[in-house]
Amino acid sequence: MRVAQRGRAGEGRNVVSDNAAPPTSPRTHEDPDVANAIRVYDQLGADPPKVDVALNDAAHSRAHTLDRHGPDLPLRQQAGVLTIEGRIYGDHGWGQPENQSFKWDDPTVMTREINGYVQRNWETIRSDLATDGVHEGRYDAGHRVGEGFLNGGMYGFGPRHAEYTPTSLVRLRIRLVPGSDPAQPFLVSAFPAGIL
Amino acid sequence: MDASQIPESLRARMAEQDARRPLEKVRSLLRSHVADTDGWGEIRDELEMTSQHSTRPLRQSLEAIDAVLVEELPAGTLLRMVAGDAGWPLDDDPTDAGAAVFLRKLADLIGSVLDDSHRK
Repeated sequence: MRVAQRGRAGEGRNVVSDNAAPPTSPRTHEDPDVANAIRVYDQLGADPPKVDVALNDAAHSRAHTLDRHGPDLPLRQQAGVLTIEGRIYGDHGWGQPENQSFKWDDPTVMTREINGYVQRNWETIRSDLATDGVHEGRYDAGHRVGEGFLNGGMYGFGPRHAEYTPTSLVRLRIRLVPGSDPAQPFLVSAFPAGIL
Repeated sequence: MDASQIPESLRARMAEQDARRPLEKVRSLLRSHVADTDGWGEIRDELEMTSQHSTRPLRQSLEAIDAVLVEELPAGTLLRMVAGDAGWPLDDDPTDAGAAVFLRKLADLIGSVLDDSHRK
């Protein structure tokens, strides 16, 4: 994640579970994990970073937004070509079949959605990175952001088959750069989705 | 350390994380370590990155998987979680039983990552 401090966190729209239960192993102030979380939280700072996806993906070997969901990827299945539809079947270039496979409509939408989410939810992202080293987010943008395929047979209703759909849903994962000190975040992947 | 030194938003997030039910903890694990990966090797890489920061989330995830596998859940819950949240292919057995097999294998992998982490 290319970090250029700007903006401020605002209202979040990410999905939050409401099925709370009593904690099984509450943290105490003696817990060294808590001390480390406070240190990382402070290092990450109050201002959300600006994400340049191309720079992020080039800088981090684990990042794959453009490789797996980039706007330039071919949509429809083609022999010998890595495609969005082909991922449903584990075709050429994919390690195994997936139940959903989507691409961003264009770089402008991708950049705006990712940075909008980070801006709105930075305090939550910052806390998750501090405690767990990873943040996963998902939300409905309320407008089209991409297109792709769901596996129509994913719940056992028949054989695997790719069903096309445009989508307004977004999922993403942000991590700490391993070993970074001070702590630095990077975007593992952000992608339009058929299922939140 | 004085607990009052914990920033309020961080303290609130910790409390929210700890209060999640096992099912929600497993869903979060799947979304953060399995979804959009390209196989077991990449899942292991994700788990190892987490363990390098803290083993706590993985230990909590193990407890949550164990709890979910013995919990009486509505039919289709495990299948929707593994095939949907994780996007994992269950073509050979697209049932709750098939999803449970996947979760047990994932739990074994987490245990292996934790063992390696403790040896370092």
